[in-house]
Amino acid sequence: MPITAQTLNLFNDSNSGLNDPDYGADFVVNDRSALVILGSDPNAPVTVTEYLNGNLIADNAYMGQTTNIGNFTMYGTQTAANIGVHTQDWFVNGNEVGGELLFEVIPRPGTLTVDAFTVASPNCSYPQNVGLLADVKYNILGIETGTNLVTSVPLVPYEDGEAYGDNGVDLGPYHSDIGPKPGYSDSNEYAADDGTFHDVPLGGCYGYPFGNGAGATQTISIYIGSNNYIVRGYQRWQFSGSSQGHGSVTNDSDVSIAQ
Amino acid sequence: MKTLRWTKTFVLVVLSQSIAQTQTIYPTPGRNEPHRYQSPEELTIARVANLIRSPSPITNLRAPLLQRMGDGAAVTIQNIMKTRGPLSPTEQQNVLQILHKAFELPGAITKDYNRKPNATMALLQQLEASTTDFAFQTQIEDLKQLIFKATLPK
Repeated sequence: MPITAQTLNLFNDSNSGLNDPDYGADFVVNDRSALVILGSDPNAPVTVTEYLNGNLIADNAYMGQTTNIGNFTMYGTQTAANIGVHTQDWFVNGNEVGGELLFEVIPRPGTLTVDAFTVASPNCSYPQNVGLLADVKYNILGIETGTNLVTSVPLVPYEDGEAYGDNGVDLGPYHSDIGPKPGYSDSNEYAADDGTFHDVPLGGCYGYPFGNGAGATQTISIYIGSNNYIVRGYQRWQFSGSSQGHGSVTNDSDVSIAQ
Repeated sequence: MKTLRWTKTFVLVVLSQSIAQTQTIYPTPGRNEPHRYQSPEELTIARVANLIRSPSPITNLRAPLLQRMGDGAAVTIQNIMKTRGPLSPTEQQNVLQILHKAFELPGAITKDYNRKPNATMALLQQLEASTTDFAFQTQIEDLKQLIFKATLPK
């Protein structure tokens, strides 16, 4: 047994935001990982026993040898096959090093589907009471799974595009986190842990009837830690208002709401 | 003549301002705020805050982070509670779930000093003192026992 204390650490080399110095790392598919053992027996076999989602996938599997000063480093890339919760116990010369390693690999955010759309509350109000504001709820789907990204890892929806006023007048670009928007309780900086988020309010409110090209282009992406994933490359919103309390919001695809 | 010119200017200014104020588009043009990158520590706080806020029970949610936190989860919750209002009944349940998960796998707690549930017991005590709901008090007592047993030296 080594005289100095042995340490075992796992790092996310691709996403510093998921690398908490006190509480360890988690990963998104394609992130690089680095496993580091320091101060163990020199020139000794390193083995691992690993469970993925509770199923044994490696039973004391040989991973290599420590160096002549008792260190061991292993780099890897998290793949789709690794999605889930991992529990690993590492051994040098048959003796366990450090505690249990526990980490999560989640799919990459890939696309959005519309879960629901409703009239936002609050909607347009005096003196800008012509038009409509929508509340669009999206599902964030994983590329590898095609299902909602259910995770405690923080997902931050972000938008950028160009806004257009009545008669298609270019009002200029915008880019920001989608939430939180003051006054809208559904609107949050982070997606919910069931992989959904709300884009609210969305639409136009005028003091007079409008349309003819009013709206916005919008690209939606998801920030996870320090990395960004585009989930809806481009959509063109059309906003209109015909009279007080009446208007529409549509992207001519999967959202169309009018009253 | 001069008075008339000033009046015209005034009317024009008021008119242009009122037109500008009668239209609002969301997303807001001109809102240019690059994403603020958060440190890992800030993201950990955000993760725990999100779990507290979760509208659905987090019982079945996979959250290895919590299992690595141990007593650090209670410290984080206490810091979050300093910056927000009182917990709703759903949020109280979520806090119990978080503390439960934080000691579910004591072997996975990354820092030795987080294996002792000092802050956790203090937080549970605080929650117990703040409620008259007998069922909730019983739940807290059960959790205290569970954590106590999980952290006994082997």
